[in-house]
Amino acid sequence: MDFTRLKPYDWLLIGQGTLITVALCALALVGGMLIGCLTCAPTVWPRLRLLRLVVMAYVEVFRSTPLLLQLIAIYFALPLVGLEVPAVVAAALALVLYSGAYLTEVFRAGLEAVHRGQWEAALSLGLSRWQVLTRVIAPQAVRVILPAAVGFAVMLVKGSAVLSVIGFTELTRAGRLVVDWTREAFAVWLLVAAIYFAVCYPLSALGRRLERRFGHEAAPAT
Amino acid sequence: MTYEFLFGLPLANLPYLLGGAWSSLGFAAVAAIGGLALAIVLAWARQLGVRLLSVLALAYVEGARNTPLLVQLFLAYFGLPSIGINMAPGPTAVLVLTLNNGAYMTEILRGGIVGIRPSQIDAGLSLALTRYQVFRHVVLPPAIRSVAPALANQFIALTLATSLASQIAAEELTYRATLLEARIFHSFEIYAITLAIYFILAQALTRVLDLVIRRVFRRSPVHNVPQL
Repeated sequence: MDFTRLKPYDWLLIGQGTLITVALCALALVGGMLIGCLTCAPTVWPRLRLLRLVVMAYVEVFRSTPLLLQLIAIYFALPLVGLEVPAVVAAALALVLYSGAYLTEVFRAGLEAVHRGQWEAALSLGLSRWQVLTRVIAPQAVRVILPAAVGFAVMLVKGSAVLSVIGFTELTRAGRLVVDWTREAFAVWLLVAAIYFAVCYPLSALGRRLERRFGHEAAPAT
Repeated sequence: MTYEFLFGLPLANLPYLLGGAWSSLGFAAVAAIGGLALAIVLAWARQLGVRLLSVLALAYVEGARNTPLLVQLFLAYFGLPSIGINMAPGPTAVLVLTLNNGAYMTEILRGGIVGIRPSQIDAGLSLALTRYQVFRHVVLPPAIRSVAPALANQFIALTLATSLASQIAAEELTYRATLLEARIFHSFEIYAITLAIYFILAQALTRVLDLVIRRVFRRSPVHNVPQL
C-alpha cells in the first residue's frame, strides 16, 4: 500500500471526481425535490386520482429496481428515441428520477404526518387549499421531511458510485482510472472510500441531529 | 427515428436470466442471515460495556454505512489481492454483502433494542437470569419483533443491491444480463426484461415478507420512508 506512487495528476483526477460527485448529487437532490413537489399534489388535492396512479407507478418502479439497472436502461434507451446524449446527461437523468421517487415518498410521509385537524381547522377558517398547504401544513411537514431528506442525501452520494459504470467520470470512476494507471488498488480504493466517508459521515450525523431535534416522527426503514 | 423492439431472442434466454435471479436471491439470503447474526453478536458486544468493543463496533458500522457498496466491493475484489488475499468473485461478493448488510442490520436492531424498557431487563436480572439469558430471552425477541418490518425492508434493498456484484463479475442477474447483451446485442430489450424481473422479485418478496411478519410475529407490517 504505497501512496507515493500516486502522481499529482492522479490526485487531481480524484479531487475532480469528488467535486463532480458532490455537484451531481446536489443537483439530483434539488431535481428530486422539484419532482417531489409535483408528485405530492395528489396528496393535497385528492381529486387528482389519475395523477396519483401515475405517481404510484413511477415510485413503485423506481424503488423496486436497482439504480444500476435504471441507469443502464436509460443510457441504452435514450439513443433509441433519437437522443444521443453524453454519459453525464444519462447519469444525471437516472439520478434525478431515482431521487424523485424516494423524495416523493418522503414528502408524502411528511404531509401525512401533519395532523388532519390542521387541514380541517385551516380550511374552516376560509383559507384556500394552496394557502393551507404553504402556510400551515408545509412548515410542520418540514420537521419530518428534513431529517429524511438529509438521510436520503447520504443514500444519493453512495448511490452515485454506480454512475461510474457508464463511463461517467465521477469519484469511483476516477478511482478506477487511477488504479489502472498506478496498480495501487488497495491504497486507491481505501482513499476513495475515505473520501466518500468524509462526505457522508457529516451528513449522516447532521441527519441524526435533525431527527433528534425535531422528534422521532420520521419512521425507520432502510 | 423509429426503432423496432425485438423481444423474441431475449425472451428465449429467459431461463438463463432467471438462473441469475436465483443466484441473486441466494447471495441476498446468505448476506441477510450472516448480517443478522453479525448484528446480534455486535448488539451483545456493545452492551457488554467494554469500551474497545463498542468503539470497534461503531467504527465498523459507520464505515460500512457511509461508503458506497460498489467501492467496498472494489476494495475487496481488487484491493485484497495486493495484500495477498485472493478470492473468487462469488465469495467476495457474498463476504462484502454480508459485512455491508450487517452494518445496516446492526443499526436497525439497535433501534429495536433501545426500545426495550429498562424495567424488563431489571425484572429479568432480579429473577437471577444471567446477562446472557436476559439478552437472549428478554431483550432480543421483542426487539426483533418490533423491527421485523425494517429488517424485511432491508432484505428487499439487499436483493436489489446484489446487482452491484455484477461489477466484480459475480454470477447474478445483472451480470448475466450484460453477458447476454454482449452475445445477442438487443440491449434495451434485455435490460427492460431484467428490470421487470427485479421489479417482480421485489414486489413478490415484499408481499411474502408481509405475510411472514403477519403470521410469525402477529403484527401489522408498516411500510415507511427511507431514512439514514
